[in-house]
Amino acid sequence: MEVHLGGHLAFYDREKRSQFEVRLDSETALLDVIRELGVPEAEIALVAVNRTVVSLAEARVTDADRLDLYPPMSGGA
Amino acid sequence: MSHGTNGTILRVDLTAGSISTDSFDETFYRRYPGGKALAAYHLLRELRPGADPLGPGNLLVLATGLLTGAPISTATRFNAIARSPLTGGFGESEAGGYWGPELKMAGLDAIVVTGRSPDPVYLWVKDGTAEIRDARHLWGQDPPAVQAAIREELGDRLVRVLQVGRAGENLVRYAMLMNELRHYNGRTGMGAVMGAKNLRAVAVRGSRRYVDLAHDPATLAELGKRLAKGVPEHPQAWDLRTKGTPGLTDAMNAGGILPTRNFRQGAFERVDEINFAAYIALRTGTRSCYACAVRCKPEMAFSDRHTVTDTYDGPEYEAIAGFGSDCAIGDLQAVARANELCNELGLDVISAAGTIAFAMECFEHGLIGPGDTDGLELRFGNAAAVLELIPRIADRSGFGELLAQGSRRAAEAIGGDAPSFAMHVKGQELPMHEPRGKVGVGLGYATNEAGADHLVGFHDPLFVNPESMPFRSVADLGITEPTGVLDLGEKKVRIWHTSERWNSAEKVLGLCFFGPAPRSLIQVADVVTAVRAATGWDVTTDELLEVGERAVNMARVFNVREGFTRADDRLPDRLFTPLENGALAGTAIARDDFEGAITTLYRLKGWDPITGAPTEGRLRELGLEWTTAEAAGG
Repeated sequence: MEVHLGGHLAFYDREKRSQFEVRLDSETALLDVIRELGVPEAEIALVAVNRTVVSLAEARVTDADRLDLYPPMSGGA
Repeated sequence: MSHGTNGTILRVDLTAGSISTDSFDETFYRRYPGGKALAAYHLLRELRPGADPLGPGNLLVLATGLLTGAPISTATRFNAIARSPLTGGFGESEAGGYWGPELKMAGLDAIVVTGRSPDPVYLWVKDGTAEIRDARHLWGQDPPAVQAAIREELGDRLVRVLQVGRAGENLVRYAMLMNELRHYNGRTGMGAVMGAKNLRAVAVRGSRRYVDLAHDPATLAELGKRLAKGVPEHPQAWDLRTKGTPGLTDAMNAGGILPTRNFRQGAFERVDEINFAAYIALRTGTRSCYACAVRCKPEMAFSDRHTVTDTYDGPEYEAIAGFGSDCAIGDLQAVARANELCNELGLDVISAAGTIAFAMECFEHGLIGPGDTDGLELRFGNAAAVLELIPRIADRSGFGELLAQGSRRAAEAIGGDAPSFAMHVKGQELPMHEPRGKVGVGLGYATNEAGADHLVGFHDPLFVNPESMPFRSVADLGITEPTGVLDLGEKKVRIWHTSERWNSAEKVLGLCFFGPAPRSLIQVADVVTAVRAATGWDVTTDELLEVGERAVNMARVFNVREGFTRADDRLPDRLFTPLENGALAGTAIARDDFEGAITTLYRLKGWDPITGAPTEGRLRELGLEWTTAEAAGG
């Protein structure tokens, strides 16, 4: 599965990657994937699976999916 | 002086060619410590109501913040304040970089410029002395040539140069100021005010150190070291350093709040061509402002379909969304070139992009055609037309003359439905943040004295989850209850009111918004510690919030004096209609709820709910009794 960590969520990846792949052997609850990734739930404001916004608590994902996680969005310069 | 200021302000009358200084005592500085407060004080005291923003009667105040130049990351900002030629009201814009700290080190807290020189000049300030110098040979020159020539003439390559570009010389209403070529006072047309004074540049050199001005230099230095060391360890600061603002683009699009096609839509079908991955493929490095460990400024250079050099700041999120999604250009190279053109010519990138997106919608609706646009097919997505148009705006040539006036005036001239396409507040174009997904930001756009501005307060998504880092970081401001991004109830308005006072305090202190909570690593208590160490004053968080509120109230009194009322605190009608696409498709702001939120905000501020003017009682509480006659329209 293709994983994209927006904003400061990439900080929590051990290698501080914004984009990488993980292997899922079967359909998995999104919450379990996120716990495995080590990204604090409290910092996740928006989740998209295959570019569609989904509920963090309810969504399930497969190895073929693309997952985008974003923190709360603030201002630019 | 040993409370973080020099106690001295330089006054320059360009009509008379005279230079003098004013001194102020510690009591004065505790009320008006710097930046927005110090500048607004002078503007209100000295500017004649109704003065032509582009006439010799306007004042241009360049004011450092209380902490500007302190050895603390993000303490780099200074304010440019005048009556705005874009809005007719309170004009203000901040910039980081090196010029503000250098002015502080030159023994000055601010420069007040009045009058107009008969010929182009520049101002040379060195260690408290100043000289008006001939700039006829610099007029019309590109910014790098002007900067190099001034340094050559003065024999010092470390002179810091603040200047206008061609747009400022030509009085484009949204011309900006730039320092060191890479740092911009973009908003409200301060470049046009300086250009109208025939003042091409202000060169500064100082030999003092901020720590010599501070009450407790050791504490200040220790805090600065701790914060600098903490940048790589703090997730949000790490994000700003590693990704910078362009890291926002994907999230905005996914959330349905990436302004697209002049704010009609919230998602861009070609986002992958302007997003963070596209950006990082072109970024060549990052740069810093003075003594700032965050180091968020993008550097970009490439030669491919377009050519961009690293002479200026690379595109930030505002430029990427402004020229990218909002003009429907799915080509980051073209966007980066548009950004570079604005910087080279001295145009505010937000207003330039917003005005062009407005013109594109007029073109698509047949309100203007090739006969009006010098033959340009000004349709959404036409990058070539945008790149041709930007220099015409700066030179006010052909169709560029109309767009150089900003979207509000251009819409009035075009007529028909055009005003409904002009996405502005008080004449200033909207930044690239969609109020239909951040409704508190919309409240800020509507009520801010300088027009639409995304840095007036905190953005709504930061206050949804009480466990999140941004939320927890502002508990010391009294923000403890979460609210939704679309909530317009009293809880949200209270958060907004607090955040506006805090951000205003940052403008007074000279702190960048990318330093303090909730955006980054400097905690509320750290800011209090820094001010105490700089000044020796027993300040509290509440006093800092009051300092911020006082500055907002001075700006509001200024606008009341110029005839602004509650009717001017309004959003474009489009934002009360549904977004056409994206994750928030169908979402609109409820007008009655929004008006109710404005009334609540006025009540919290102690302002009249009908007129939007500060009440005499509130002004007295803030120590602004000297403004009460003006607030009453007197």
